[in-house]
Amino acid sequence: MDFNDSPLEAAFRADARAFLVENSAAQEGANTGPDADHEAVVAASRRWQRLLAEAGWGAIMWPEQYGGRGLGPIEQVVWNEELARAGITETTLMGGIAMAGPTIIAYGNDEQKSRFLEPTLRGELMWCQLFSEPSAGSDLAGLRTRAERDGDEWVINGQKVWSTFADHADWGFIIARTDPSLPKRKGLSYFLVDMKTPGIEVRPLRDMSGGVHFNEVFLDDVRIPDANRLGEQGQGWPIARTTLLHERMSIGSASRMFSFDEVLAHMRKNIPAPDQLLRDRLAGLYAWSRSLELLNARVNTKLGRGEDPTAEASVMKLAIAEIFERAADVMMRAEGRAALTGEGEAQHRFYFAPGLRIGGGTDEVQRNIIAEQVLGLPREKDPWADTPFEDLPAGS
Amino acid sequence: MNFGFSEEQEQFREIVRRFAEQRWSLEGVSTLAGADDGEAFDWQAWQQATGELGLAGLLVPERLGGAGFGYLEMGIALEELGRQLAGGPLWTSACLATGLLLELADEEAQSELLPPMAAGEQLATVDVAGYLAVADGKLPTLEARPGQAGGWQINGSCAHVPFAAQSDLLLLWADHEGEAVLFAVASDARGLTIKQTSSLDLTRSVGDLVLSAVPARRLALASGKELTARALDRARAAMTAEQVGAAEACQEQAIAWAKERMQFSRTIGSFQAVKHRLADGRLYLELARSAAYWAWWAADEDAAELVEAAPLARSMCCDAFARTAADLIHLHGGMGFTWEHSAHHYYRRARSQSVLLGDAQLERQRLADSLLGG
Repeated sequence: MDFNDSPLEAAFRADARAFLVENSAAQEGANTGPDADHEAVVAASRRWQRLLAEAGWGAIMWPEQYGGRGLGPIEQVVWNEELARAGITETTLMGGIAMAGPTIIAYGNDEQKSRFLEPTLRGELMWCQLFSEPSAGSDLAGLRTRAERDGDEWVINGQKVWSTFADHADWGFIIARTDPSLPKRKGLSYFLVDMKTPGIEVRPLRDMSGGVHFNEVFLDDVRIPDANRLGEQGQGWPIARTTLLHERMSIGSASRMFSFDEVLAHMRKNIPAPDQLLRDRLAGLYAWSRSLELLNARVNTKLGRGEDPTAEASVMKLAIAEIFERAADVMMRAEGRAALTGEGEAQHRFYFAPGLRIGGGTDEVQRNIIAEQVLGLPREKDPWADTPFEDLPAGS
Repeated sequence: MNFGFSEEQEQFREIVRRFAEQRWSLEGVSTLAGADDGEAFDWQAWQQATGELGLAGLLVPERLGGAGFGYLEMGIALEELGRQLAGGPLWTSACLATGLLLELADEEAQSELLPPMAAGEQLATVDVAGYLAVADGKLPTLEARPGQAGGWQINGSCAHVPFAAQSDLLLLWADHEGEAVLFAVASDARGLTIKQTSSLDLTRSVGDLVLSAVPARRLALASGKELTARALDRARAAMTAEQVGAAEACQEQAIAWAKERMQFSRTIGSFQAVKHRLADGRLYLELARSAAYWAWWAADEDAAELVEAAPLARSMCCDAFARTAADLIHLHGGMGFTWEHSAHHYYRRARSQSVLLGDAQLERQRLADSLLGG
């Protein structure tokens, strides 16, 4: 056991730091914030990602043959730490680097890999997730968007929701029902869709923070070539689970979403002599966030040994939601009555916190995953698991 | 960064686990708890743990009769024994008292006192309240004054000393003209009365001491107050090992029962209310374990982070253990509430460990002090 960098990690960190010291000015404008102009943020993110890709920092964990750095999760952590140190929190392109990319690497054919991976790495392709639907949230497999085969094409009809940055994305990854005569998890397929295809309408949704991150996406006779199907027909569910695992991992390990030092600085600025209660909350927050970092490091050691991280990803997702809520609470308390003004970093976190308990799988879904997949408790029986989708009772 | 144990350490864990499971059954704890003297601890097993496995000497250098290992190995031993509520005086004598003696500038005292402790032939204990006071820069309540022929005498009383009645050697802090000084007192010294009281944790006795001109040996510490506090931080870090081991055992036993117990014609572990309770326990446990391992490492390396790692890990471990122990009782229903079931021993252990060194909230105050300044 050694919590210091190994010689190799230290060298990697030094490289990363040197690169960021020299280049981080080029990242200016790419961070998303409460009042960010998304158009400008996305443009800056693309420029920054291109610079990263050209310098070999575009995707730490992608294999080298696809332009990644071919390194492991520990180096990813080191890179994230150095990004945080450099004040970089940019996340607009994570749909491509952390979700679409790894899924295409795992399931794409050679043509799809050569077509999508490089431009994604260079920030030329921005991706959005088209999974959730108005009637398919936690029960994602109950989704109703249909994809029907027509010659060499698929015709997609339906509605997706909670699609982050769909209003700026070039491409989306979508799961749709290709065979309603099969049980709900069996009749799904996974597609890559050009967001400029006729029939796609994106309507921004304002969330409770007042910001616009999510979108509704309406698909009306959207025709896409069969070449854009990822994996086999009917394989959509396991592929989607791969994407979701990567999503959970990128949320749970998101030291980039949360910096304790910022909370501490905010507290120091607002309240020079916090009372016992606030000191207790601050220390509790620190204990949780530091423990989560350490858990993340344990998971990475496991990953490095080739062990399966599925279980811990749910634990970490559950923890980050709790921690984010506590951070918002501490920051709001530190402001005292000044928190009554509606704007500011504390308020932004306060408005954002409930969403983190929902997105990427709700707290309850994560608890079920932990209980069933980690603790080995009996799986909740879905009485409809083997029923053809088209025979399911209405509204389910 | 490598957050794993070495192969040798994993093998050592296996050995201790097998030993603890064979020699320290939970039924044994319950049986002993039903006995008249009310002390549910198997001293024969302790002899084996120290004699065959040499656990009491893990932290002691080889030249003083120990194994010369560190806090990672001690952590592993305490974690594994903690699972079975074993361990007995391992933490008090082989971590807390030993850690303090290892800070001595007095090599003569070290070579006299430590070898029998490392061999498990002698037990030592510490007046924890006095130690905590001194580490916080306060004066202990016992008073010391020079006696005859260069010796010292101690007067006063102290309470709730772990394993007071079973220990051969007592390490006591006393006030000499406004200065906190460490003394060694033999348990059979004249003028010393030890009264064993009832104990919250039935596997661990506590006792009160009354000292009337008790002859004592002054021990010279190599370092100032700051390093005394660091020695205490190392003992804090070591305690998290017992807490994590026991919390894990609580969770495992609760899960096993939830998979077995039928109500409404299904196992209770198939209900979401039960699943979610156990999933939350797992969250607490995994966070606590991660923090604990960091603290052991910091204790071993004497890293600067220790001042932060020890209270942080203890705050997480106190919470995780309290929670999983309460869940263990709850998920066993009425049966978990009976005297015969071993669940209450975990529940007692969890609270007694919180009380002894300070609970999660107190550890968070310590942590806040290091984050914000006192």
